[in-house]
Amino acid sequence: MSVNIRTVPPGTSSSARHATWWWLALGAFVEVALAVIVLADGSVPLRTLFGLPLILVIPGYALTALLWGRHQLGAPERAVLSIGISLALAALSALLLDWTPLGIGGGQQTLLLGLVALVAIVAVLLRDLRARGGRTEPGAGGAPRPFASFKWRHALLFGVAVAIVASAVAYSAHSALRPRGTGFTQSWIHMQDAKAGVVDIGLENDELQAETYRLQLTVDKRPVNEWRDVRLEPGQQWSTKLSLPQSRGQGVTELVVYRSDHPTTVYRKVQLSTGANTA
Amino acid sequence: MLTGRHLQPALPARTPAHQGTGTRADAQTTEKAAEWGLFFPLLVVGAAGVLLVALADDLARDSVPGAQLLFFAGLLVTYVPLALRALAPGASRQERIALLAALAVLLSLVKVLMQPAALTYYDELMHWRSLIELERSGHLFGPNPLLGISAYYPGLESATAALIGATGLPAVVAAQLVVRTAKLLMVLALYLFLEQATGTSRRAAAGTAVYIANPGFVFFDSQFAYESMALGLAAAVLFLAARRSSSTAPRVGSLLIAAPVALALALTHHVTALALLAFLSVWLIASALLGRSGRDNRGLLALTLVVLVADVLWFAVAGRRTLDYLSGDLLQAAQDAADLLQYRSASRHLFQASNGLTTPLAWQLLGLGSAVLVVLTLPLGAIAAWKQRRRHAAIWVLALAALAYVGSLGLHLAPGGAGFAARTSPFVFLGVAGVIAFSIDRVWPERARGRARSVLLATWLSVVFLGGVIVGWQPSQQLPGPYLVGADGRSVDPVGVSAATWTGDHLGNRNRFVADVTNRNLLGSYGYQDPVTYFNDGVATAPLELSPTFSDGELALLRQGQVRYILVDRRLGTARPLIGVYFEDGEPATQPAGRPIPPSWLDKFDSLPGASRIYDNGDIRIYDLGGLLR
Repeated sequence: MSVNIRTVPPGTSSSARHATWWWLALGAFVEVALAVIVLADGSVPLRTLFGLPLILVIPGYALTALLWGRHQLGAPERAVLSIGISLALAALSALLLDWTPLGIGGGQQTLLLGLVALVAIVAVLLRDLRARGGRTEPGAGGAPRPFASFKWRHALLFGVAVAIVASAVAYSAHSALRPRGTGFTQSWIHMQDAKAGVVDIGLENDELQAETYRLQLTVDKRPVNEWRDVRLEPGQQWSTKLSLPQSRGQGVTELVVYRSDHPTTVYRKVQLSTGANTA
Repeated sequence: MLTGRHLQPALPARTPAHQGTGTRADAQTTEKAAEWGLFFPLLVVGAAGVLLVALADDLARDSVPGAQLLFFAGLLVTYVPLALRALAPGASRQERIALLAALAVLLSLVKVLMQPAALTYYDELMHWRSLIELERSGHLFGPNPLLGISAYYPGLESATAALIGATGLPAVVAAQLVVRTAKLLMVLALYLFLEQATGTSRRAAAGTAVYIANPGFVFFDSQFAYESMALGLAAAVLFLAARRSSSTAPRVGSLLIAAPVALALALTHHVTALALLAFLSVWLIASALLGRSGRDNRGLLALTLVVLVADVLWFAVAGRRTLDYLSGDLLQAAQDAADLLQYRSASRHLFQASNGLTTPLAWQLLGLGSAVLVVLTLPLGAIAAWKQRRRHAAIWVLALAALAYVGSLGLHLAPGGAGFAARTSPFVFLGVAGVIAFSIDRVWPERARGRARSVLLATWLSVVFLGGVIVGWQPSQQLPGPYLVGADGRSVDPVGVSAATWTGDHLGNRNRFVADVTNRNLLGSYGYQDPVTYFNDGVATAPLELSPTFSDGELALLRQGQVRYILVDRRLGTARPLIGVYFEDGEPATQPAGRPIPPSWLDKFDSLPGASRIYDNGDIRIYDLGGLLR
């Protein structure tokens, strides 16, 4: 493949100022983002607004500007390197932090990636200022120029497309969450505290409608408790903790659940085998 | 904007391609390189296709007939107009790139629409466990009982954790964002690589559009799994290699950029890292054989060394486990292929799932047609490539990869080879894309205007793309719907999720569990439990459920695996699993063979002294077997 190195012609003073302001603005954005995310612990929408570019674009963008130097780089190439390096650094940041007592999680990775971006931005600024004696010019490290041919109708169509896709996702989310099938009821019994003989018994209605249940608790087939007319709305849970009486038999505690529409049919049954000496 | 001259990357003055049609054509197109052309109207059309897919998913959830047809229609509405325009003669470079980027994002949403609020594929649940482990412990390399090797390739989870830490978004949303960003990266980088390799933006667009039609693009490589992110990083390195090979990149700067990307790739996915290294090595050898200038070769050599060092460094950490993990799949595929060649085993029935479920005939024809069209078009592209770019080493590597694709088609006939072949498709299809890209100049020359050509190409693209989707992902799993036994995402439903979540809420975390493949993944992720398997622990726990009685042998397994709980999904007794196994490879056969698990086998724990049925939701029961171990 042939040589395709192109140096950027000397920038005008206005483009140099433009580039300087661009990098200063980007640095300020990173600082505000770090403040919002790490210091202020802002709301999720606000953090998303700042966090997405801070993790997925800016570190790579700044490093590309720094390392690619004055070789020509188009917008797609710049996008590839910005995203590629940012993703790579996001992955590597965990490796680096894993070796420190700080560990991963929380704001450590954000802080690290933000600092990398800031250092790169400052380095680009210094390099350009030194190289041009105070006059910057846009090379690979220059400010991206707006798309000259972008028109209002483009923005409108883009908005329509985004709206359609957002509708599709929202519709799918709604559709996926809509209850289907016959629904089910969860029931359980398990030893909460073996020494004290305390068990946790419970029920959750995941049917499509409200249900009324009757629960019967037996120890070695001997009824010890009963709960009638336990009415639960869909998604509602009922649970209780109770101490089991001393067992003199096999130590089998059984919870049987009936539904009010079929009062004699066992709907759920759970049991706890604790051996001969419960508690 | 960039000037037209700047938009032709590395067009060599000394090659025949410079006088070729494509080059002249590109010179014309670059005059309007800054134009958006039909991008925005077509973006709306593509978005409408995504909406059709959402509607199809909704219908499929209610088992309405025709949902699959609507789904395919939605896919075609998204893909064909945008792909066709991207390779059309009149499009500008900017328009082509924008269209391909849109395709990357829109098509990667198809998988999201199935279940926007959850990760449901088996691989996704496995990687989610790694992410949970990382977030809980604050450190890497925490054990993953679902996919042990995943702990040693934490790139995807690390990047996702970074995004979660910065945005506060739920893990599911952050995971989807990381994968879709990687997808966008892959398509853009691939385009730029192909632009350097094939010489024109139009060929690059054609190649990228063909690559998007590969069987793994819409589903397999859109899931939250390490390969999805790794492909993006690998493509970025390929782009850098192309720029270095053509001396259009800063010598030191591009290496400094490549180093973190290569290292991140090495710690993200083993196979992709190795595939990239192999690609670069062959490229380097081909370049030397073709007698390229020393400077160009040095550029490629240095980058290949960077990738090699990154891989070696990471293999020093994870090498042994990686070899153990990969050798299983590789040896099985090789053995199956050898058996097939020597008539020692029956060939696999194409388009038939392990439980006998057959793909409808029309979809079978599309799947076969896709492969046939690709194979028939390859020679056309190869001849054009030979005429125009035979002095370019990258083309030879692409041609080799294309040959590997043709060879991999045979593996689909081997019982264990189909999975292996499917996993190679994202890599070998790069060769297919690179070679077929050259045929665009012959099939639809720049000056030729005619509806017939565009109809022909639209048909070709439709068959190859739709056939790829059918071959790449079981049609029954492409849409959501009612629960199916052993069917990846289609087996994940509120019944299983509730049970898994209950374990985390009531039993505490990291209890040793035995469960079928679906519930195992749910327990390991939603419940943060530690399922015990032969694959990860060396203890074959499947016989606990796949046996008519519970005897001393089963008790010994419990002790050996230190198993406390067993989850029994009674729905396993209603059908054979779509993926071929209820639990894992090597599990005991059911009796009578080929039938679902007898219900009595699943219910045997109810009458087992010392076992407690502590949870019941109708379909799923959880037994505490602690009493048996006392």
